[in-house]
Amino acid sequence: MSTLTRRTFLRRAGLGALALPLLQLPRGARADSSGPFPKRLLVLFQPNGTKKELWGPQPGDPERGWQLGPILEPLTPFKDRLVLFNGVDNLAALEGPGGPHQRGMAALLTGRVIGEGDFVGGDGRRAGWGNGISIDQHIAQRLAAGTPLTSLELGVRVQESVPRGRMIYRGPEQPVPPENDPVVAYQRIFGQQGGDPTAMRRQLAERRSVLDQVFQDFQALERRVSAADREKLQQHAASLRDLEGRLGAMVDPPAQCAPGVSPPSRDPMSEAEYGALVTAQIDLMVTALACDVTRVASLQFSTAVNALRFTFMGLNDQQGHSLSHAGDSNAILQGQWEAMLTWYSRQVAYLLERLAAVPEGDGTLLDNTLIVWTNELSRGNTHSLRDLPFVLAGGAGGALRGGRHLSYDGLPHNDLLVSLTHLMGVPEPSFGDAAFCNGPLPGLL
Amino acid sequence: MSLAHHLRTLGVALSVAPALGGLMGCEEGPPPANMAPAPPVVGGTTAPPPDVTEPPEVVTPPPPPPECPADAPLDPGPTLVRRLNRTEYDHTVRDLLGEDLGLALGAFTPEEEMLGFDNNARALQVTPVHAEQFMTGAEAVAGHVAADFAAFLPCDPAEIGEDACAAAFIHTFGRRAWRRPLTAAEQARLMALYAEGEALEGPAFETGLSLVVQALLQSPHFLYRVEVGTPVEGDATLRALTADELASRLSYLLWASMPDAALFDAADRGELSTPEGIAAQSARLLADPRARDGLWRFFVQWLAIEDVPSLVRDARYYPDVTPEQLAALVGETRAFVEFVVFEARDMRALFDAPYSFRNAALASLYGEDVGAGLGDALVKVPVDPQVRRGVLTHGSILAATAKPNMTSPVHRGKFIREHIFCETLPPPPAGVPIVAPDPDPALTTRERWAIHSSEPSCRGCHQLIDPPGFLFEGYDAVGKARSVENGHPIDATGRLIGTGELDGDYADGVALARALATSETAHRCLTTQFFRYAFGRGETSVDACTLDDLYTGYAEAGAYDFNALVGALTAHPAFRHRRAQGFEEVAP
Repeated sequence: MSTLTRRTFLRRAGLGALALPLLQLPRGARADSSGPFPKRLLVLFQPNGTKKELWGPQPGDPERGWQLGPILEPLTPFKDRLVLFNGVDNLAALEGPGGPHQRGMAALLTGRVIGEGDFVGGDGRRAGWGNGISIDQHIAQRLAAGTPLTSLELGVRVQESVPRGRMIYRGPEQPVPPENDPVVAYQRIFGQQGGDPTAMRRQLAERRSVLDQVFQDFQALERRVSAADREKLQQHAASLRDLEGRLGAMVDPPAQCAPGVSPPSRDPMSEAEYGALVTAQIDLMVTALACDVTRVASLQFSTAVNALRFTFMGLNDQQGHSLSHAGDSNAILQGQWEAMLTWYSRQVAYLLERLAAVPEGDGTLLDNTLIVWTNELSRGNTHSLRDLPFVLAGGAGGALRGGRHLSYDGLPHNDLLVSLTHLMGVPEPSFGDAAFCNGPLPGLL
Repeated sequence: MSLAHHLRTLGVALSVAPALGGLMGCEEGPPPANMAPAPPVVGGTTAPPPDVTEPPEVVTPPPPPPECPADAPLDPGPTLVRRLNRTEYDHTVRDLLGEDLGLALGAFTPEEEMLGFDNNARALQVTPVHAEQFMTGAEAVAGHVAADFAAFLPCDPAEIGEDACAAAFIHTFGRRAWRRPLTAAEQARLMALYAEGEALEGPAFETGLSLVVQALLQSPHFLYRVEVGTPVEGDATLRALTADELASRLSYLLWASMPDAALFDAADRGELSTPEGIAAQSARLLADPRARDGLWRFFVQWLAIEDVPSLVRDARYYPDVTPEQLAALVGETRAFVEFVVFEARDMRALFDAPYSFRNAALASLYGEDVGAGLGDALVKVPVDPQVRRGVLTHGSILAATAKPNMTSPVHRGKFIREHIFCETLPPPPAGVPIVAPDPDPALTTRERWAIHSSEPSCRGCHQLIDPPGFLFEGYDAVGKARSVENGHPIDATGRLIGTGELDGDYADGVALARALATSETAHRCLTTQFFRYAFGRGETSVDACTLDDLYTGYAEAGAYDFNALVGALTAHPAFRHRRAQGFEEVAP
């Protein structure tokens, strides 16, 4: 890819015909079927655990020849594109301050024990943020793809700016908030549309001049402040460098990948429109990947411990987190909880459908994408952090062999995280806290 | 030996936020009767298994040491450079330009929060998305200035020449944007940027100054409250804030905005070098209407009612509740707090005042007969002191701590213990299944919870949390007073334990409110909460004497006047200094 400009890539990818509305991705409209096509990473998060006994293969089941359970049943058309796991534990979340939802979130993609907050009062510890870079950000840095966005973080009704609402980290204590509003996400992905080219070039020149000046302010100031302040300012400067690197792309949007119209404006915090918001964000995410606006993306459904009722499904009484705590013998509430879990599977199936509908060479975008679908808990009503319901999907450019189930006797989820670097073609021996990492999961690669 | 004592001895500590997650699960009712006993929280030690029915101990803010001698060395604590949050950004741009552009709120990414406050220095960070927002924000400000340069120029370029006028603009506008005079080197660099306007199309003077405004507003000197300070003679551990840095501490504390001209002038004249001078400016800022907006940021977050207008209430149970009424609930509390702070000047009334504010929407929501003549405007009215007293009986807090379709004594109790007592509640014991049984519509909410608190594995925590919540069962999920639920009479009694001075039996929330009015626990907690807001960080053990000083100045010397708390805080040496630690590596 390095010898191609993005524009030529888009042309070759046949995305010049990508038309409106966003969902109408062309089938067989390829102008040029030659690759290579880049690998993409897409992380999906669903909160509050699941019910693994109704999920898929059980511990000890063979690698092949297993059945999807009722919760994952909507993914039946994609069964041979999935890898399911039993016995992968969030060991890093068993330690540190805070409750299981917080610890689970903080460790989920960082593979590190949650930090302490800055609130060391008396003898008490308070939970802090995740304590290291998350795997998606790490891979985005390693890929150094030069795309308009280094990564894209979207969410749906991620209400609270607290540790149990954050899974993406640029580094220790640097949570990345996801964008909940599809309209804003659209603007972030496609930049300014339809501006006067002359005015936009001039703005680009102004921005570069101004940023030069601002960098000088940072450099001069960093020498004069305390060490702790300097670290804070250096994080800011690093974000400015990221911004500087994509200034050109911001005024030169992916014109051949026609972005179409913005999604309709909706209240991002609406319960009633939760499903419509999920669809909108999935559509945007697929388009961003198809147009090579970014190669690393994440989509976070709500937060751990959410106050979200599925009123659009008639589940008006119980919020998701409350349902996850229903007693095992409570058939009514368990039935509602299973309906909620199954609904999420349908959204994932929709995402895979959309990815599979984008042709890339002889294959599809799904073939070139690695989807990681995860959860901060295994089970809500026990707060179990062991045996997380990890699902890998897609093709990872041929690196992921699907249709399989891998069963372990309690391996740390860091082993799965480091496996992602191998699947994405930027292999490394370890990720997160090395004390929780043995290397890639046996049999996965 | 208590569990907490065990944990402290072992260096294991209790933490706060998990309690919400765990307790929300337990709150629907009891676990199965056959549940295994909770395992010890601490493994691999010689500690005996804790008795989980013993009240698990809570962590409270660091108590004052036995002595805080007047000559004890000052430690201002671990201060971190503070970025403007969205409110501060908007207020600052408003006061810089004289017009509120409303750029940040509603458009910039919301702040990460810690301890419920959105001005926590550690949590305020800058991702690439933030950086882009600050860029477009700066461009919007530059566009506003460019649209009416004459209003911002201190000179006439036709008269003194464009370059000379540009230099004058950088000098005056830069001083206000960065809240301190620019150095000669900074002035020179910005003049060089101004000169780049020549190379771009369009009028060079305006273009150059637009670049300057953009750079000023994306600079760390605008976006952060930079505090470098100066060495303190005779004390290598401290740095004293400069007069300009102190001016910003005052204005952002009280106005959530930049200093005004009078405060800059006071700084220039050296008036902020004495406690008296600071007190005079502090009092002046408090008397300004901007203090009402500024300090409300503290109260609305401490009381955790900011999101009340967007709360969802289940229409089957609360069919008549409108968004306007929910917004009015916050309006009631704001009007009440402003009256208590600025008129009554007695924070005991915050807890037990037999009055509040009403308009037509509120009277209708509360189902009260407060007479005719109420319109949209909020009017101070007496309330039935048997039914309501003080802010804890406001619908805003009662709704924020309820569920869409019912009250939640667990949330209410947790709110009181964490926000009003400043306790840190322990998480649920590890490995205990947290499950809910069938709800029983034949029971009151309290009866369902009472069952659950009888279970040993839950009771430990819930005997601390539930009773203060039960005291408010006489109010429904929007704060309307009630005496029956599901046809059963409401029981709003409760016994508080584990609090120290507030332990005992209470008839209802009003009884608790009366006790809180003179409670040292409550007023020390208010002091601690304001400390967190004022310093943008949580308290640490080194802050114990500072907190004690503030409490003394506020409650004992200040007769519970919030203005006295502000005065004690702004006059305190901890407000005027930073640690020298970390500055050693400064290059010459």
